[in-house]
Amino acid sequence: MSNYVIIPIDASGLPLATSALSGTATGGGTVGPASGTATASDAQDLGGGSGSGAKATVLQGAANNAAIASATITITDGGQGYKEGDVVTIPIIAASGQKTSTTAVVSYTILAADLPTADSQAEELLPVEDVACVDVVTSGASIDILLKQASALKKWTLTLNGGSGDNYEDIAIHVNDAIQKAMQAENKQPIMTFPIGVSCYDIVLS
Amino acid sequence: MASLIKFPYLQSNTDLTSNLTLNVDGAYRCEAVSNNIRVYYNIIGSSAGEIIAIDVDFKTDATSADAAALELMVKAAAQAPGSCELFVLPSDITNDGELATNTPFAMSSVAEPS
Repeated sequence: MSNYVIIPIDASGLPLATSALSGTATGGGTVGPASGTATASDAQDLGGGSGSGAKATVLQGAANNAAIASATITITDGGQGYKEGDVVTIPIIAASGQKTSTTAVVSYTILAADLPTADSQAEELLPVEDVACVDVVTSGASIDILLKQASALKKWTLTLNGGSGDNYEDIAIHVNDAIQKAMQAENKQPIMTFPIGVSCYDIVLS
Repeated sequence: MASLIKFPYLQSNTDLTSNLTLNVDGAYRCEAVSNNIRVYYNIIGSSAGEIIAIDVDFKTDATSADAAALELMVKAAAQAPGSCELFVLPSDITNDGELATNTPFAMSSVAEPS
Protein backbone atom coordinates (compact mmCIF):
# COMPACT_ATOMS: atom_id res chain seq x y z
CA MET A 1 0.00 0.00 0.00
CA SER A 2 1.37 3.40 -0.94
CA ASN A 3 1.14 6.65 0.93
CA TYR A 4 0.54 9.84 -1.01
CA VAL A 5 0.28 13.53 -0.38
CA ILE A 6 -2.10 15.58 -2.52
CA ILE A 7 -0.62 18.77 -3.92
CA PRO A 8 -3.17 21.34 -5.15
CA ILE A 9 -2.19 23.05 -8.39
CA ASP A 10 -3.03 26.73 -8.83
CA ALA A 11 -2.15 28.22 -12.21
CA SER A 12 -4.47 31.21 -11.93
CA GLY A 13 -1.60 33.57 -11.26
CA LEU A 14 2.02 33.01 -12.23
CA PRO A 15 5.37 34.75 -12.16
CA LEU A 16 6.47 36.08 -15.53
CA ALA A 17 9.18 34.09 -17.28
CA THR A 18 12.56 35.75 -16.82
CA SER A 19 13.34 36.24 -20.51
CA ALA A 20 12.55 38.71 -23.26
CA LEU A 21 8.83 39.35 -23.69
CA SER A 22 7.56 37.61 -26.80
CA GLY A 23 5.10 40.23 -28.06
CA THR A 24 5.31 43.86 -29.09
CA ALA A 25 5.08 46.78 -26.70
CA THR A 26 2.98 49.83 -27.45
CA GLY A 27 3.35 53.47 -26.51
CA GLY A 28 3.33 56.76 -28.34
CA GLY A 29 6.88 57.79 -27.63
CA THR A 30 10.33 56.84 -28.77
CA VAL A 31 13.26 55.00 -27.27
CA GLY A 32 16.59 56.73 -26.64
CA PRO A 33 19.45 57.40 -26.57
CA ALA A 34 19.49 59.86 -29.49
CA SER A 35 22.83 58.61 -30.79
CA GLY A 36 25.39 55.91 -30.28
CA THR A 37 24.99 52.34 -29.11
CA ALA A 38 22.35 51.83 -26.50
CA THR A 39 22.67 49.72 -23.40
CA ALA A 40 19.78 48.29 -21.44
CA SER A 41 17.99 50.50 -18.97
CA ASP A 42 18.09 49.84 -15.27
CA ALA A 43 15.43 47.36 -14.17
CA GLN A 44 12.05 49.06 -13.89
CA ASP A 45 9.04 48.09 -11.79
CA LEU A 46 6.09 46.88 -13.85
CA GLY A 47 2.74 48.43 -13.04
CA GLY A 48 -0.76 47.23 -13.80
CA GLY A 49 -2.02 43.71 -14.39
CA SER A 50 -3.16 41.29 -11.73
CA GLY A 51 0.31 40.52 -10.45
CA SER A 52 2.99 42.37 -8.60
CA GLY A 53 6.71 42.54 -8.10
CA ALA A 54 7.94 42.07 -11.67
CA LYS A 55 10.86 44.08 -13.00
CA ALA A 56 12.10 44.53 -16.55
CA THR A 57 14.82 46.24 -18.53
CA VAL A 58 14.26 48.02 -21.85
CA LEU A 59 16.78 47.95 -24.68
CA GLN A 60 16.52 50.21 -27.68
CA GLY A 61 15.92 48.54 -31.02
CA ALA A 62 18.11 48.89 -34.10
CA ALA A 63 17.80 52.63 -34.54
CA ASN A 64 18.21 55.62 -32.23
CA ASN A 65 14.93 57.29 -31.30
CA ALA A 66 13.00 54.37 -32.77
CA ALA A 67 9.40 53.63 -31.87
CA ILE A 68 8.78 51.88 -28.58
CA ALA A 69 7.50 48.86 -30.49
CA SER A 70 11.07 48.10 -31.62
CA ALA A 71 12.43 47.88 -28.09
CA THR A 72 13.30 44.63 -26.37
CA ILE A 73 11.80 44.23 -22.92
CA THR A 74 13.44 41.61 -20.73
CA ILE A 75 11.93 40.42 -17.48
CA THR A 76 14.60 40.33 -14.79
CA ASP A 77 12.31 39.50 -11.85
CA GLY A 78 9.14 37.53 -12.55
CA GLY A 79 7.18 38.76 -9.55
CA GLN A 80 4.00 36.81 -8.90
CA GLY A 81 0.33 36.53 -9.77
CA TYR A 82 0.29 37.45 -13.48
CA LYS A 83 -1.96 35.94 -16.14
CA GLU A 84 -2.43 36.03 -19.88
CA GLY A 85 -4.13 39.23 -21.05
CA ASP A 86 -2.81 41.39 -18.21
CA VAL A 87 -1.75 44.82 -19.45
CA VAL A 88 1.42 45.90 -17.69
CA THR A 89 3.17 49.23 -17.95
CA ILE A 90 6.66 50.62 -17.58
CA PRO A 91 6.94 54.26 -16.53
CA ILE A 92 8.89 56.82 -18.55
CA ILE A 93 12.62 56.19 -18.22
CA ALA A 94 14.70 59.35 -18.05
CA ALA A 95 17.71 59.76 -20.31
CA SER A 96 20.98 58.63 -18.72
CA GLY A 97 24.05 58.39 -20.94
CA GLN A 98 23.84 55.43 -23.27
CA LYS A 99 21.24 53.65 -21.19
CA THR A 100 17.94 53.16 -22.96
CA SER A 101 15.34 55.79 -22.12
CA THR A 102 11.71 56.29 -23.14
CA THR A 103 9.56 59.34 -23.81
CA ALA A 104 6.23 57.72 -22.96
CA VAL A 105 4.79 55.03 -20.76
CA VAL A 106 5.28 51.58 -22.33
CA SER A 107 2.30 49.23 -22.35
CA TYR A 108 2.45 45.53 -22.96
CA THR A 109 -0.20 42.79 -23.00
CA ILE A 110 1.00 39.56 -21.40
CA LEU A 111 0.89 36.56 -23.78
CA ALA A 112 0.85 32.88 -22.87
CA ALA A 113 4.44 32.62 -24.05
CA ASP A 114 5.49 35.15 -21.41
CA LEU A 115 4.37 32.84 -18.61
CA PRO A 116 6.00 29.61 -17.44
CA THR A 117 4.44 26.26 -18.24
CA ALA A 118 1.97 25.20 -15.59
CA ASP A 119 0.59 21.81 -14.71
CA SER A 120 -2.78 21.16 -16.34
CA GLN A 121 -4.20 19.11 -13.46
CA ALA A 122 -6.10 20.51 -10.52
CA GLU A 123 -3.98 18.44 -8.17
CA GLU A 124 -1.10 15.99 -8.22
CA LEU A 125 -0.54 12.87 -6.13
CA LEU A 126 3.01 12.53 -4.89
CA PRO A 127 4.07 9.17 -3.44
CA VAL A 128 6.08 9.62 -0.24
CA GLU A 129 7.47 6.12 0.44
CA ASP A 130 10.90 6.90 -0.97
CA VAL A 131 11.10 10.55 0.05
CA ALA A 132 14.26 11.28 2.04
CA CYS A 133 13.78 14.94 2.93
CA VAL A 134 13.05 18.38 1.55
CA ASP A 135 15.81 20.42 -0.02
CA VAL A 136 15.44 24.10 0.74
CA VAL A 137 15.62 26.57 -2.16
CA THR A 138 16.49 29.97 -0.75
CA SER A 139 14.89 31.99 -3.57
CA GLY A 140 11.49 30.57 -2.65
CA ALA A 141 10.72 30.11 -6.34
CA SER A 142 10.60 26.34 -5.89
CA ILE A 143 11.32 23.58 -3.43
CA ASP A 144 12.86 20.17 -4.00
CA ILE A 145 11.85 16.88 -2.45
CA LEU A 146 14.79 14.45 -2.49
CA LEU A 147 14.18 10.76 -3.15
CA LYS A 148 16.06 7.72 -1.90
CA GLN A 149 16.44 5.80 -5.12
CA ALA A 150 19.28 3.64 -6.34
CA SER A 151 21.74 4.66 -9.04
CA ALA A 152 20.63 8.23 -9.55
CA LEU A 153 19.94 11.35 -7.52
CA LYS A 154 16.28 12.03 -8.11
CA LYS A 155 13.94 14.69 -6.82
CA TRP A 156 10.53 16.23 -7.24
CA THR A 157 10.63 19.96 -7.87
CA LEU A 158 7.59 22.00 -6.92
CA THR A 159 7.59 25.36 -8.71
CA LEU A 160 5.86 28.05 -6.71
CA ASN A 161 4.07 31.34 -7.13
CA GLY A 162 4.47 33.73 -4.22
CA GLY A 163 7.69 32.32 -2.81
CA SER A 164 10.60 34.60 -2.01
CA GLY A 165 13.74 34.91 0.03
CA ASP A 166 11.54 36.04 2.92
CA ASN A 167 9.36 32.95 3.21
CA TYR A 168 11.41 30.03 1.89
CA GLU A 169 11.89 28.57 5.36
CA ASP A 170 8.14 28.67 5.99
CA ILE A 171 7.58 26.95 2.64
CA ALA A 172 10.05 24.21 3.58
CA ILE A 173 8.29 23.65 6.90
CA HIS A 174 4.85 23.41 5.26
CA VAL A 175 6.05 20.95 2.61
CA ASN A 176 7.97 18.93 5.19
CA ASP A 177 4.95 18.74 7.51
CA ALA A 178 2.67 17.49 4.74
CA ILE A 179 5.11 14.78 3.72
CA GLN A 180 5.71 13.71 7.29
CA LYS A 181 1.97 13.51 7.87
CA ALA A 182 1.53 11.37 4.74
CA MET A 183 4.36 9.06 5.77
CA GLN A 184 2.86 8.51 9.19
CA ALA A 185 -0.78 8.21 8.15
CA GLU A 186 -1.53 4.82 6.64
CA ASN A 187 -4.45 4.85 4.19
CA LYS A 188 -4.74 8.61 4.21
CA GLN A 189 -3.85 11.20 1.61
CA PRO A 190 -3.29 14.52 3.34
CA ILE A 191 -3.43 17.72 1.31
CA MET A 192 -0.28 19.82 1.20
CA THR A 193 -0.79 23.40 2.28
CA PHE A 194 1.48 26.34 1.65
CA PRO A 195 2.05 29.61 3.51
CA ILE A 196 -0.50 32.36 2.81
CA GLY A 197 0.05 33.80 -0.67
CA VAL A 198 2.07 30.82 -1.91
CA SER A 199 0.80 28.20 -4.36
CA CYS A 200 2.27 25.46 -6.53
CA TYR A 201 1.76 25.55 -10.29
CA ASP A 202 4.10 22.87 -11.60
CA ILE A 203 5.63 19.60 -10.40
CA VAL A 204 8.48 17.86 -12.19
CA LEU A 205 10.41 14.67 -11.45
CA SER A 206 14.05 14.83 -12.45
CA MET B 1 5.84 2.91 7.99
CA ALA B 2 8.87 5.15 7.63
CA SER B 3 11.25 5.83 10.47
CA LEU B 4 11.89 9.55 10.76
CA ILE B 5 14.15 11.84 12.75
CA LYS B 6 13.27 15.50 13.08
CA PHE B 7 15.65 18.40 13.55
CA PRO B 8 14.91 21.92 14.84
CA TYR B 9 14.63 24.47 12.04
CA LEU B 10 14.11 28.19 12.61
CA GLN B 11 11.86 30.47 10.58
CA SER B 12 14.08 33.54 10.60
CA ASN B 13 11.29 36.01 9.84
CA THR B 14 9.17 34.87 12.77
CA ASP B 15 11.75 33.43 15.17
CA LEU B 16 9.50 30.39 15.50
CA THR B 17 11.29 27.08 15.67
CA SER B 18 9.74 24.22 13.75
CA ASN B 19 11.24 21.01 12.42
CA LEU B 20 12.43 19.38 9.24
CA THR B 21 12.44 15.60 9.07
CA LEU B 22 14.78 13.05 7.57
CA ASN B 23 13.63 9.60 6.49
CA VAL B 24 16.25 7.24 7.93
CA ASP B 25 14.91 3.98 6.52
CA GLY B 26 17.98 2.28 5.12
CA ALA B 27 20.40 4.57 6.93
CA TYR B 28 23.12 2.65 8.72
CA ARG B 29 26.03 4.92 9.54
CA CYS B 30 26.80 8.54 10.42
CA GLU B 31 30.10 10.39 10.24
CA ALA B 32 31.25 13.94 10.75
CA VAL B 33 32.31 15.23 7.33
CA SER B 34 33.26 18.85 6.62
CA ASN B 35 31.52 20.06 9.79
CA ASN B 36 28.28 18.33 8.76
CA ILE B 37 26.92 14.93 9.72
CA ARG B 38 26.86 12.57 6.76
CA VAL B 39 24.17 9.90 6.92
CA TYR B 40 24.95 6.85 4.75
CA TYR B 41 22.17 4.74 3.23
CA ASN B 42 22.35 1.18 1.96
CA ILE B 43 21.34 2.39 -1.49
CA ILE B 44 23.55 2.08 -4.55
CA GLY B 45 24.94 5.41 -5.77
CA SER B 46 25.31 6.77 -9.26
CA SER B 47 28.78 5.27 -9.86
CA ALA B 48 30.46 1.97 -9.02
CA GLY B 49 31.53 1.73 -5.40
CA GLU B 50 29.31 4.62 -4.35
CA ILE B 51 26.26 4.83 -2.14
CA ILE B 52 23.69 7.50 -1.43
CA ALA B 53 24.38 9.82 1.50
CA ILE B 54 22.71 12.89 2.93
CA ASP B 55 24.73 15.63 4.59
CA VAL B 56 22.92 17.29 7.49
CA ASP B 57 24.14 20.84 7.99
CA PHE B 58 23.70 22.63 11.31
CA LYS B 59 24.24 26.24 12.27
CA THR B 60 27.09 25.05 14.46
CA ASP B 61 29.86 22.75 13.24
CA ALA B 62 29.09 19.12 14.01
CA THR B 63 31.64 16.88 15.72
CA SER B 64 32.41 13.17 15.62
CA ALA B 65 30.60 12.79 18.92
CA ASP B 66 27.53 14.45 17.39
CA ALA B 67 27.66 11.99 14.50
CA ALA B 68 27.89 9.09 16.91
CA ALA B 69 24.86 10.39 18.79
CA LEU B 70 22.85 10.66 15.59
CA GLU B 71 23.92 7.15 14.55
CA LEU B 72 22.56 5.84 17.84
CA MET B 73 19.27 7.58 17.17
CA VAL B 74 19.15 6.24 13.60
CA LYS B 75 19.58 2.71 14.89
CA ALA B 76 16.87 3.24 17.49
CA ALA B 77 14.52 4.71 14.88
CA ALA B 78 15.07 1.71 12.63
CA GLN B 79 13.64 -0.45 15.40
CA ALA B 80 10.61 1.79 15.80
CA PRO B 81 8.70 2.15 12.51
CA GLY B 82 6.62 5.31 12.40
CA SER B 83 8.72 7.02 15.04
CA CYS B 84 9.85 10.63 14.71
CA GLU B 85 12.26 11.54 17.49
CA LEU B 86 13.86 14.98 17.82
CA PHE B 87 17.63 15.24 17.38
CA VAL B 88 19.27 18.33 18.87
CA LEU B 89 22.96 18.69 18.07
CA PRO B 90 24.56 17.74 21.40
CA SER B 91 27.64 19.96 21.09
CA ASP B 92 25.67 23.08 20.14
CA ILE B 93 25.23 25.43 23.08
CA THR B 94 24.62 28.62 21.10
CA ASN B 95 22.07 27.82 18.39
CA ASP B 96 19.76 25.35 20.11
CA GLY B 97 20.98 22.56 17.84
CA GLU B 98 19.20 24.04 14.84
CA LEU B 99 19.73 23.12 11.22
CA ALA B 100 21.36 25.61 8.88
CA THR B 101 18.64 27.59 7.14
CA ASN B 102 20.03 27.60 3.60
CA THR B 103 21.06 23.99 2.95
CA PRO B 104 20.01 21.81 5.86
CA PHE B 105 20.05 18.65 3.75
CA ALA B 106 22.13 17.79 0.69
CA MET B 107 22.03 14.43 -1.07
CA SER B 108 25.00 13.06 -2.97
CA SER B 109 26.51 9.86 -4.25
CA VAL B 110 29.69 9.18 -2.28
CA ALA B 111 32.33 6.52 -1.88
CA GLU B 112 31.20 3.76 0.43
CA PRO B 113 32.89 4.35 3.80
CA SER B 114 35.55 1.86 4.80
